[in-house]
Amino acid sequence: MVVHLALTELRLLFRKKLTLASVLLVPAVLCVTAWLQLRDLPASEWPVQLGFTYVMLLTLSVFLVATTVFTARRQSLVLKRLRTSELSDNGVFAGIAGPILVVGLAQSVIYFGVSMAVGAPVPSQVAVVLVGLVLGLPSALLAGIVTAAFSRSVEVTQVTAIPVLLVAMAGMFMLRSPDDMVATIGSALPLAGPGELIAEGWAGSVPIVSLVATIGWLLVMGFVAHRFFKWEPRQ
Amino acid sequence: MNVIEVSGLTYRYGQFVAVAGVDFTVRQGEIFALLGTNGAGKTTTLEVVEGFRKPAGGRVRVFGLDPAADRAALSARTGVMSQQTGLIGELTVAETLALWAGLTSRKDSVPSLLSTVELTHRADVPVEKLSGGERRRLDFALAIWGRPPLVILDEPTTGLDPESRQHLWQTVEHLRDAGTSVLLTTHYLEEAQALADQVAIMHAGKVQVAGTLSEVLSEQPARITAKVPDVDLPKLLGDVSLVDGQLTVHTRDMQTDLYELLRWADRNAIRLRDLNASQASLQEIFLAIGKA
Repeated sequence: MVVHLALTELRLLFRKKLTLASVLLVPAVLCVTAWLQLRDLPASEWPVQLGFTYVMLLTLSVFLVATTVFTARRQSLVLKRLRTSELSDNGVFAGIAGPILVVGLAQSVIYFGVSMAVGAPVPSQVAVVLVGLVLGLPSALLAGIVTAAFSRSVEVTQVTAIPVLLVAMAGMFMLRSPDDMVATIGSALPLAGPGELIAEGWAGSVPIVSLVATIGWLLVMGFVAHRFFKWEPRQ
Repeated sequence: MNVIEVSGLTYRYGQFVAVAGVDFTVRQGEIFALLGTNGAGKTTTLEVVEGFRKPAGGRVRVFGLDPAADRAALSARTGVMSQQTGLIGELTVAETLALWAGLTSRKDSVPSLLSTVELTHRADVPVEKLSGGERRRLDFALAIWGRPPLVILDEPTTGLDPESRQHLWQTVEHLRDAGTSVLLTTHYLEEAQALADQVAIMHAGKVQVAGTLSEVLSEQPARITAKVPDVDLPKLLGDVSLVDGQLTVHTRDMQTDLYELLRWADRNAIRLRDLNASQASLQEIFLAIGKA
């Protein structure tokens, strides 16, 4: 039943023009950019670039799509209707979230593949990169669900999504700061951690602060989503 | 066999008591209509029965199970239609039914159900392009998908044209005749009066009157009216009044008073013009409860 809902949602992802643009255009632009501007990049500078782009993918594709889809489905009472089916509450979540995660994973893998094809080195710590992928995608998804929990309508998400976008981008810039304190704070910010895991995994080290912070944010966002996400539109 | 048993049900939204000690029972193969003023607590009661709200007090059992704790088990045996439709606008009518087919273990046929709700010609139209009435009919089709043994309908005919309403009620009657239990709310009292086997009227979170239709109707006195000349009023069991030549008798024993009235008219050679004798209507009871 979950797969049935997920396949329907996947089809719908490609049916709405705005979502389709987000799903296809963003990674396409990133891949073209990598080919046009980054192919002559020195091997040592690729990890940072890949980490940064991964955070962009997480925010623009997974986070924003999750925010929009969950808010829209709740606003139009679809979530409430789905709960009257034989799916469990977790099944409804999984059926809607699954396609978003799958598309996000596919986008990331395609981007990393294209990047390596145009000159990026092979990741030094594949396990760390995989951890970055495995933790990053659900982090962005949960951030989207949490944002949807506090968004009354799809229109409002244009405002409510801004804090997460700003924090994620700020984190990625702070990570590159020469000031250790600023860089550490940056690595602890939501969604910046997975980017740092990708970057450092590619470079060959294990960013403990980013790893712990990412797991911590996953738990926090999971709790907030469970506590505050309502099945019916916010009044 | 009791399909739904509700006793002492209480539900609160914060400090506000929305449902205050409601009792009713729905048996297998009967249509139970929950009526009431806006804000009476009908929808909250249905949502508790559906397992989406946990009651603050009382006991609710559906097929012998606690709906809040056993919603997964009950959802396979229950079809639900909420007050507002919750359909995915981008899906077509046929895709919506196909989606539902994958979300329930009950089996049914998409073409047959489309025919039942008269949407065959709209099968390939996206839901967002349907009229309000068509969406309600599609929502109804989801609720009766696979002919579940219990169907819960919250104001199912709101927004439907008279023909569609009649068709939907016929379908509900067929379901009942096939053994399905139906718990519903409606604002159309004449429909409840025509179809429901059991009726409960809620007001301010409480069931004010409940029972079979005749039991509920007997809560209010029957009425006998006729036009008569200005004469001495007959002595009857009920209250008799004469205003501008209009005789009105409110009585709880219509047969006796009607017989006595006819005898009185015969004895006095009075012609009772426009003679009418009727039970109280559900609407009169509803209004009386609202006023009280």
